[in-house]
This record gives sequence, C-alpha cells and structure tokens, in this order.
Amino acid sequence: MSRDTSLIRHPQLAVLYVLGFLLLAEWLFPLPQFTDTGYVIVFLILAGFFFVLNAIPMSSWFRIPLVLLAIFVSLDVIFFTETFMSFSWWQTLLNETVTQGSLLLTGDWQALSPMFRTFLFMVMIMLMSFLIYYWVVYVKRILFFFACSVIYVAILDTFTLYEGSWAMIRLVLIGFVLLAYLKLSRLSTVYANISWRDWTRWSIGTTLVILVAGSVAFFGPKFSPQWPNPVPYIQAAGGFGEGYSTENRRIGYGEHDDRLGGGFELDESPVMYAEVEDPGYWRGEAKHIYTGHGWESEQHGEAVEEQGELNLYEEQTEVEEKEATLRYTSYFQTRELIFAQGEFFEATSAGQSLNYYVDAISGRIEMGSGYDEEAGMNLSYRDAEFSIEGMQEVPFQEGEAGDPEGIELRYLQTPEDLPERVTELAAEITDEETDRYRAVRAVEDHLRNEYEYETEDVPIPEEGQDYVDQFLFESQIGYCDNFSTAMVVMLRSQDIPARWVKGFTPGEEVEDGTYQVTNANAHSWVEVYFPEVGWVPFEPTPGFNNEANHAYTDLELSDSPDLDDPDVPDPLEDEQLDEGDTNEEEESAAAGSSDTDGGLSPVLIGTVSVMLLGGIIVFFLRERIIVKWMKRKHQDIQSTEQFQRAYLSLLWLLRFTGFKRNKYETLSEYANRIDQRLDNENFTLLTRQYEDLYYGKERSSIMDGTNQRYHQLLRDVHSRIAR
Amino acid sequence: MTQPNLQIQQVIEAVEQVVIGKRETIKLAVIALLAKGHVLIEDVPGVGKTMLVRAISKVTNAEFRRIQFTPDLLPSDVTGVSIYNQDQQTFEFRAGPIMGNIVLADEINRSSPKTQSALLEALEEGKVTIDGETHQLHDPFFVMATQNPIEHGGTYPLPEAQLDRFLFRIKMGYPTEADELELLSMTEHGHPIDHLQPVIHVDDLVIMQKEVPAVYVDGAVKQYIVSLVRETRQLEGVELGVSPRGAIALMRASQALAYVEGRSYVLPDDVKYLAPYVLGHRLVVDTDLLSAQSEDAEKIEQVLRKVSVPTASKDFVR
Repeated sequence: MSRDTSLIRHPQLAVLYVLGFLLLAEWLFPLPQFTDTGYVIVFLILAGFFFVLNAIPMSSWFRIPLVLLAIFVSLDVIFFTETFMSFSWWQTLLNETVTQGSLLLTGDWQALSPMFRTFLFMVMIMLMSFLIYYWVVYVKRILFFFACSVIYVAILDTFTLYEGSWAMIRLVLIGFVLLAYLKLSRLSTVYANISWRDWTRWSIGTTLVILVAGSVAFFGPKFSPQWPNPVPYIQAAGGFGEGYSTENRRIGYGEHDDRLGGGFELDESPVMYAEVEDPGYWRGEAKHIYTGHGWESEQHGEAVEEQGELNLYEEQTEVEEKEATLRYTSYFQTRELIFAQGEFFEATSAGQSLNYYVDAISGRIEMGSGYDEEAGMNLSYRDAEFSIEGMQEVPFQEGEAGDPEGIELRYLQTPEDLPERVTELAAEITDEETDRYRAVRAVEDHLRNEYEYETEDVPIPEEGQDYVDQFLFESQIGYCDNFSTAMVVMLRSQDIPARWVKGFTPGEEVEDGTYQVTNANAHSWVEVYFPEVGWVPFEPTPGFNNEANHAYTDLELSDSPDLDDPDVPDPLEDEQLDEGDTNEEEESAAAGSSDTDGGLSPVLIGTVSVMLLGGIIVFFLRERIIVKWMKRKHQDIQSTEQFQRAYLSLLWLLRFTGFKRNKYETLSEYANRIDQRLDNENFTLLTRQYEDLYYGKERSSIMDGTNQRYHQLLRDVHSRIAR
Repeated sequence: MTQPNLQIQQVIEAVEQVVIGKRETIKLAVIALLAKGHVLIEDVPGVGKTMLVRAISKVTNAEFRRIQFTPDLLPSDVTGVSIYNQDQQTFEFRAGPIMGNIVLADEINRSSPKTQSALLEALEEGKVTIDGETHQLHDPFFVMATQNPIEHGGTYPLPEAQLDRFLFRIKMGYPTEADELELLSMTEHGHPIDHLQPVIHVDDLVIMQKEVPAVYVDGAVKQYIVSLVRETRQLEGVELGVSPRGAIALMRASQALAYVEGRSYVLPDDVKYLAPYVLGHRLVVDTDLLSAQSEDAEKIEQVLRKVSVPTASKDFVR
C-alpha cells in the first residue's frame, strides 16, 4: 500500500485533499448560526491542522499526542483562564474530565458542560478529517460527503438565519471538481498510462461542464418557490426537532411563547412542592404583545426593581395577606423565577431575606441570591376578593370605561393583520352586553362551551396564518394557550384591556397541605383590567377552574351561574387534562448552554452527529468488518457442510463488494472472472469443490488446501476493498 | 479433482495432429460420437471436414464410409440393395455405404429429398429395411453430414424436421493464418493421415457410449435445460422453438461432455457450452441459409443470457 508517500507522489491528490478540507470548512462556517460559539476560526485552524497531520506519515504514537495537544491548545484558547499547562490548568482539566466523563457514562448528556461538548466536537472534527483523507486519498470517492454537505447547507439555509446561497455555490464548485478529478484518479489506478495530456483534457472537459451547468442554472428561467415556505409543512409533519416547532412537545414552563401551536406530551416530572392553605394558580408572568403566532414581552428594564412589589390590584380591592412555602426540584427549568398565587410582596429563604427583582409590568419575579435549596422559600402575597359590583360598574361602550392611558396603550394591542372575523365574532358574542364584566364573561363562556379541549393533533399555524384565527375558525380544538390567547385577542378587539398570563395550576395534594406541581401543570390564562379593581384572572379553558379566586364563588352565588361549567371534569380527569404552555429549549436550558435563539439544540446536533459519524464509519468500514467476521466464522472448514456455508457466504460477500455474478453466469465462469481480477485461481478451485457438492451425486470430502484457499481469497478480497 | 478421460484425450490429440487448430470441433465430434448422435457440418468446401471424419475413424479403428450426395443418388445407393443370386437362387443383400461405423455424408443437400430421408431415417432408427428385411446398422454408428451453404443452385435444403436428427450443427471455419501455415508444412511431403495410428479400439467406443448415460444430471441442471428450451419457444423472430427432443439431446450431449471431462455429473457449464451447437439448428428462424447459423447463434446467445443459471440458495446445504 502506498499510504506513506501517496500525497507526495501524487501532488494532484494533495490538491484534491485541500478541496476536501474546504468541504469540511463549509460545515464549520455556519456554526455561529446554531450554536453560541464565536470561535469558528479556532475550529477551522484545528481542522486544518488535523488535515496536515493526516497527510504526514507518522506512527500513532506521535499522532495521538499531537492531536490531543492541538485539542488542548484550542480548548485553552476558548475556555481556560488559567495559564496554559500550569498546575491549575491541569487541575481544571482533570476535574472536568472526571465529572464530565461520568456524566457521559451515565448517559446524562444534557448535563455535559460546554467545554466537554466542545472537546467531543473537536474529536469529531478529527475523525471527519481522517474520513475525508480516507475518502480522497484511498477510495477516491467523495459523492456521499458532498451530498451530505449540500443537504446540510440546504437545511441550515431553510431553518436558520444562515444565508447559504454562496456556500451552496462554493460547495457545488468544489464538489464537482473533486468528483471529476477523483474519478480520473480512480481511472489512473486502472489504466496506468494516463498522462499529463489526459489531465489537461479532463480539466478542460470538467471546466466546460461546470461552466455550462453553472450558467444554465444561473441564467435559465427558474420557478419561484413552489411552496410558500417548507418549514411549516415540515413542522406539521412533526419530524423536525427545531426549537419551537416540534408538533408534540414536552410540556413545561418555558421562556418562549413567540410561536404557539402544536400538540404536546404530558411530562409528569415534579417541578416544585408547595405548602399552601388554599390551592390556587401559580402566577409566573404576563405577556402582552400578541404577534399573530404567539406572545412576546417587551424589554422593560426600567420597570424592573430590586425587592420591588407587584401591583395587580387597585386600592379598592379587598385583599388578604397569605403565606406559602415553595421548594423547587432539579427538574425545574426556570428556577430563577418566583411564582405566587396573587400579588407577591415578599420572599425569604431559610429565614434569610431573598434577593429578587420584580418586573412591575409583566409581574415576572426573578430570583437573585439567597435561595436555599433545602428550605425552599417563604412567600408572602396578597389574595384578592374582587367585587362584582365594582367590575360591573365598568361600562362596555368604547371610550367610557375610563382605563388609564398606560393600560390602554399596552393592553389593547392586536396585530395589524388580525383577521376581521375574529373581531366580528367577538362583537357578536358581546353584542348584548352593557358592562365590561358581562362582556368578558360572555367571551369566556363562549370559549368554554363551544371549543374542544385537546392536547394532541393541535395544528401549528402556517406562515401568514393567525394563531387565534386558526383556532377559532379552523381547528376549533386546542389547549390552554389556544383558549387564553383567543380570549385576550377577542377582548382586545372589543377594547377591553387584557393580557396573557402563564404559570402553574395548583397541582396534586400529596400530603396534607403540600401540593406537588409537575411540568404537566403548566398553564396559561387571562387577566382583564377593571378600573378601580385591578387585574382580574379569568379562565377560558374548559375543564379548568381558578378555585383560589374567592370572588368567583360570590359571583356564582349572586350573579353568574353559568361559570359553573356543567362538564367540569372530576379532579382525576382534571389532572389528566392539566397542561400548560408548551416548552421549547428544554434540552438547551438543561444543558446550560446559552441561548440558541430558536436554532437547533447543540446537544441534539452533537448526539445526532456522533451517531451519524458512527454510522458513516461503520458504513465505510462495513466490508472490512464483514470480511473480519467471515474470517473468524469460517476459520476452520472441516465438513462439506461447513464448506458449503462458507462458500455461500463468500458468494454473498463478493456480491456485496461489487463483484456481482450475472444471473446467466455459471459459477465457474463467475469464479474464472473473479480469479482473473485477483490474479490467482483460488476461487475457481473452491468453486469446483462446491460444484462437486451441489451438482454432483456422491458426496466427496473436503479437498486439502481448501481452508488456505478460502482464507487467501478472503485476504485478496479484503485488500481489494482496502485499495 | 476430476481428470479428463484419458482415452478420449488421446483420441482428440491424435486427431488434432492432422486437423490443425480445430480442437473444439474435434471435441464436439467426439462428444457427438459418445452421445450416439450425429453431426451436421455446415461450411464451405475444403476446410477439413473430410479429414476430420477420416482421422476420427482412423484413430478409433472404426470402419469409415463415404457417400457423396449427388442429385441422381438413389436411396438404395445409400442403404444398399438386394440382388438375386443366380447360383444360390436367393436374394442377397449388398450393403450400401451406410453400413459402416463412421459415415461421411458429403453435401447432403445436393440429393433429392427422397434420398436424404433414407439416410435420416437410418440415423434415427439405427437400422434400415430393404425389401422387407431389416438390417441392423453397425455399432458404433456415427454420421457426419456436410452441407454446402454456397451452392444454392440444384440443392434441396434439409427440412427442419430432419435437421432435428442431428445432435450438433457445427461450423468449422477457416483456419487461422498460423494454422494454415502449419498445415502446408505438414502436408509438404505427403499427408500425415496415412501415418495415423489407432489409439483405441472401436469396441472401446461402444463401451464408452454405454457409460455416458450413467453420468448424473442434477435436478437443478435438468431444470436449467428445460428453462433454456422453453425460452427458445418464446423468442422473438423465431417461428418454431426447440422441441422436447432437443431438450433430451442437450442433456445427452451434456452428459457426454461431462464424461469427456472425466466428471461423474453434469454442470450448467456443460449445458451452456453445448447449447449453441445443440439448439441452434433446431430453431426455425425466418432467414436464408447463409446467415442462418449466425442468426441462430445469436438467438441462442439471447436465450442463454435470459435464463438464470441454477446455483445454490442460502437454504441449500447438502
């Protein structure tokens, strides 16, 4: 084998090898688009180093330390603050290796640290560089990798912000050149006398083909995209694991609600344990910008106040101060948030004051320092009793309600392209109502009664389709997000200030006074503003009742029997139906990586690429593996029966490795053909032996030398493959 | 490992001394002889047809006869006649040239169909009946007929049904330049056939002929033969495919080939090798005589490419 000198003796192969590197580089360029890395150049240099290393003949004893050294230097550049190779540097590395190694072994891949994942990624780059070396220099075939690269760029171009046009053009150019010259290289191993003139002619032909194909592609008429955008279709098909778009997502409390829709699966992992007198809804935060796809909150830095207070209720509203204890579990992904059942005003942890930041607008409370895992936190909050009379005093007519200007500005927003029929439906429902409370109730009742609760098969809005419109008029099935969003949007269309609130339902009482809240309890509901009352929660989702709002009990007695839904499920069913807003980014959040901004999760990519890589390696080594296995299996052929089995698997191997027997060929014709290529007569002799057994009448015994011939043939086939 | 049958090998080598560069043809002739079949050689004159037959009869020590077919040849000229013997007051049978071990029927298509059929009947029956009296033909009995494709005038092409009586149809073809040169050197001082010595006795031939049917034909190989023959009947441009008689002929010839190779069983290779010779002339292709053979060969080649050779499947292990 000419391994050691091949690149020196074949400078054209070296050029092709460089092109192979450029192909790999196209994989690295888009990295910042879907990971948080800012160090593409490091990866590129590292990959280049590996490429050079592969081309230099040396023993593994040198190669492996060099590879490790290169990886450590790169890691040092990216992660380490310690002096390179200093004592503390080694300490950090050792620590990292031990802890991360154990994580890897236990399969807890999501918990891997960024550094360790980067390390794995670098190892993968090393393997890829070797594979490309193998493809270009040994097998001289690159089509598979080329096709993968094209698909990769196409996918990134489609699903991320990555602009792949030029990458694609570069890829096609590099790929075509590689394909053409590798083909010529292959030919030159068969036909010895390929001269420089042939190379020139081949180059002219290749250039012509690329030019013609390129210009036809460039100047030729092209259809505009036949699909509006494939992404929603693919998402609807449910196969693609993009951050916010899988059809069935695991449910939980998440940060991103900018794209709602799709079904989900219930996830019963407990997220917190709450000791509380009366079970009520755990309010996380409100969002108020409806985009047509989901909810966003504005960044309002000035509204965030350290140790601030939440203002949900106006002064006239009667409140009762209450306390609760919350303990978060490690499954909880948004542990930095504080949840409360009403108007939060104080929190302590293990007797110490807890540091927190309150966003007065959304009501989002972010925890600072001081949280004690064991003890959990003690919350103080105000629970309100809303006065129905107060609410009914607010007139429904436009402009007469007397909402403060700030409220009107923020909470009457709807998207400009909100379909007209949503507004019309809301107007129709509230047509006869005169006060705001009854109008809100009318919309709530309509949603509770006319639409079906469903967690699976909930569609995702297509591009250009409104989420609420789709729910109200097309699918008519959905879960809390659908109901609550629809209610907010309908109310706003009738000039009633409303906002979308997310949090958790009370959960299940596991001990006396202690409730277990799981991811499946994540929920979303509606708050409506009433002047002189404040933000009053409403519950448009059938099967759910916000029991903690005592005011409702009063209301039901006096005024509104229709709240008591006749088909309210019993608690057991309720538990089953419990759900909440969907959560994306579970993996990335858990893995501690920084925001991937709606891209693919790096861990997922890592896992998939490692598996893919393994698959590729096995795929390309499959013939060697099979030969190895056959050598072992048919190690010692003694009986005619063993021989026949061995011979049959030999036939299979040959077919598999591309020496296919034509169906009209007799075995000996076939054997003869193979032997001519392998330049001996082992197969013919083995075939004769086999024919004797298969077509003959008497059973003869195994000839001497059969074993040797068989294994010689396997070796020949093996070396043939290796070439 | 199987070794080719030694005696046959000697015969072939001996004949090869006089018929230069025609080993394949010689081998085929010997196979036909062993399979108790007859051979039709279709070729231009002067390429060594006669020499081949004479040589074979000489090295096997067989009685050689020759019939030159002419338009005025009568059936009795072939089979023989009964002549009244005045002295003994009886009819006496005068055997015709057909009463030999190896008979060369030269230019068979130049005589009348009546005479042709007298010969061909003898081929099939192995006996002749003259004036109500049956006369057994000799054993072994091997006819090599030649047909001259060039001379169209005054010829009576053999009817398809009668072509069927020949086991093989062979084309000899011109020798290569080197062979032709060697031929000249060899015959420079007299023809070497005069010095050819027998290598086996004619009775050995009879014994061998009896051994041929003992060669084993596996079910898979039989299936292959049947598939081939049936495929000929579906060929495009073929009016009539190969008859079951053709299938039997192919099997027998394959057995003989296996016997020559010293094998106790038939391989698909045998079948495949012989198929063009056995099946070619049994097809009725709508074409003229000259191109018929190449046309037939092409057809048979098609068939061979269509039919898959029976080989082992995974579940077969003996």
